[in-house]
Amino acid sequence: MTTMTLTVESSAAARRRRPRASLLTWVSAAVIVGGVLLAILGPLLAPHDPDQTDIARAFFAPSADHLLGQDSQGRDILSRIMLGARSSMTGPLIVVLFAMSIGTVVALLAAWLGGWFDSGVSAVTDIMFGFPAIVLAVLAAAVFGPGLVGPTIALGFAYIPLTIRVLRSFMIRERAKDYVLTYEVQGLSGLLICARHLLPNVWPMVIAQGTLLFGYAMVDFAAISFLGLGVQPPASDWGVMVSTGQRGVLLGYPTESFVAGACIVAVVLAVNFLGERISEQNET
Amino acid sequence: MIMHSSTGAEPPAIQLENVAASVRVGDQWRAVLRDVSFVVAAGEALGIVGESGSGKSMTAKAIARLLPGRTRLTGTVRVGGLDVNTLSGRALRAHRSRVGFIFQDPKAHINPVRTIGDFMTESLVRTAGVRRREAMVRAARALGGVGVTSPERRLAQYPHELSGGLLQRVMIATVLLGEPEMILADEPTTALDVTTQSEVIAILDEMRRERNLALVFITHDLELASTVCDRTAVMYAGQIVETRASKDVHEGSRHPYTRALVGARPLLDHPQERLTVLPGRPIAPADAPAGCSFHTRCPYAKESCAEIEPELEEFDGGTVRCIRKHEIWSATTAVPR
Repeated sequence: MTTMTLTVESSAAARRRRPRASLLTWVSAAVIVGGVLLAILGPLLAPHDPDQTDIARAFFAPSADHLLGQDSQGRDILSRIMLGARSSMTGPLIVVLFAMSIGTVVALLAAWLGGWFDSGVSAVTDIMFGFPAIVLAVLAAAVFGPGLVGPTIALGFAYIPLTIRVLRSFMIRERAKDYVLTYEVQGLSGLLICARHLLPNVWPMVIAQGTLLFGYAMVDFAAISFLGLGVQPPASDWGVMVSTGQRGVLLGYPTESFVAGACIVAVVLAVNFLGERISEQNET
Repeated sequence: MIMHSSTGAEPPAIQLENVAASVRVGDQWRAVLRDVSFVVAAGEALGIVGESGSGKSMTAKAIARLLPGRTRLTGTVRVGGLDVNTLSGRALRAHRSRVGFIFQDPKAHINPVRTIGDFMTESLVRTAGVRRREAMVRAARALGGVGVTSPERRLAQYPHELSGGLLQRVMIATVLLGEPEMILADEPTTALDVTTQSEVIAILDEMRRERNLALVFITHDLELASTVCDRTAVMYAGQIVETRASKDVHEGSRHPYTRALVGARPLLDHPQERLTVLPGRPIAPADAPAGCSFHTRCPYAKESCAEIEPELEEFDGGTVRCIRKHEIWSATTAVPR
């Protein structure tokens, strides 16, 4: 009897702890899935050639043939948005993968070894924090020339200190947990404990940090493209489209800038929201 | 047939010589152990008793070389004749796997996100190279050996599904799986309720006798230490103040602190209105006064106690760290109680 009531209680408690996914979560997930699909299938789905100009139809309003209307050159905005998904999202993805993999390993080492290595890592990250990502990106553009390569490298490095700082604190906390001591006294090597126990146990935090970083990276990339240092026109890219659409905004045709900007905002918000949910779920 | 000549004799399982340790806190080095020496032979059980912060756990951690990173250690810790402090890398890991460490709080010391089976077999599979299936069979057998029913089912469960007593058995079984030469038990029953406590102690005791293991048993409980162990060492402020055969501790202890501890425990067959208490509070090793560290609370203290630092000396069948032991105990009629 007692066991019965106990089980009922515990499963009820479990349900209380893990609230059902909200509508916002589903919307965020849908936005991300949609974005990824566009990035993969965009060129196949686009109704028009995104680079096909038609000056006679510049700034035409949305129609059945051109669902989002046409830009200053008469190009189909919808097609350009669909193609832009790829370059707008792969840059941030590479940056996140790069910064996260280096940051995670360094943070793990710092937490495990402690002592002078940890102090050194902290000092170096503090120095690196002195250089804002955008400034580094401008510098990289000067070195590598405009394009995706420069900003990707610059942002990749610029995000490493952030990753290290956040993950290091989680890993230090995890490393101080008593079960690690048990593994140590069993004669397991530090590498094994790190790879098989510490890292998996902080993995949700790594994922959460990665998603947040993706949002930052996307905004930064858009800003870099907007400044004209990233992807170059006439290539379709959301950041570039916000920039080239400026003329339309002044002339009273804001669709291009607005839609491209909305796409960036939607993906960033969705990714950030999901990342926050992941870290919340694993906090207690 | 002189196999047991002094040179050919096996080194003792555990040997500590003048071990002192201090931990850095901010800019200061705070002492945690001061001049700790003892020997534990294979098959022997030594109980270490003392108040919180007296250095009991630190002693055990020094043996397993698990002291925190900011620790400075002097003196030698020998395990099976090997100087533990010189080890590193592979040799250190090998040393640690010879030492079985049973922690106070099994819930905290078992990886919460892995199954019991995974936890128990991790070191067998990863360091001893045993196949997972074989390791699981051994783990089940070890669980059965410490009185866990339906061990196969337990192996698939997670730590949060098991009670504290069961987890402590898991911990003991895990330690035994590694076939250690000695067991360091750091308050293994403090987190358990009293009935489970006696079962766990019984298992530990049986295992030690069966496998001829050296056992260092750390506890707050003088009574428990004297039932489990052959000898009992009493620690105060990072020092050992008395060692004695466990059976003699009650009647034959000679250090004023031990006397006070013995006097402070309730007795079933001697109803008492009030328990005798020792005035004052325990002193942290770092705050120990000059001279004898106990003199501030000692009912027998004289001025000389604050000046001369006593050594641990043979006295009346044990060792005692007190300069006035002869004076106090010459008048045998007045047994301080």
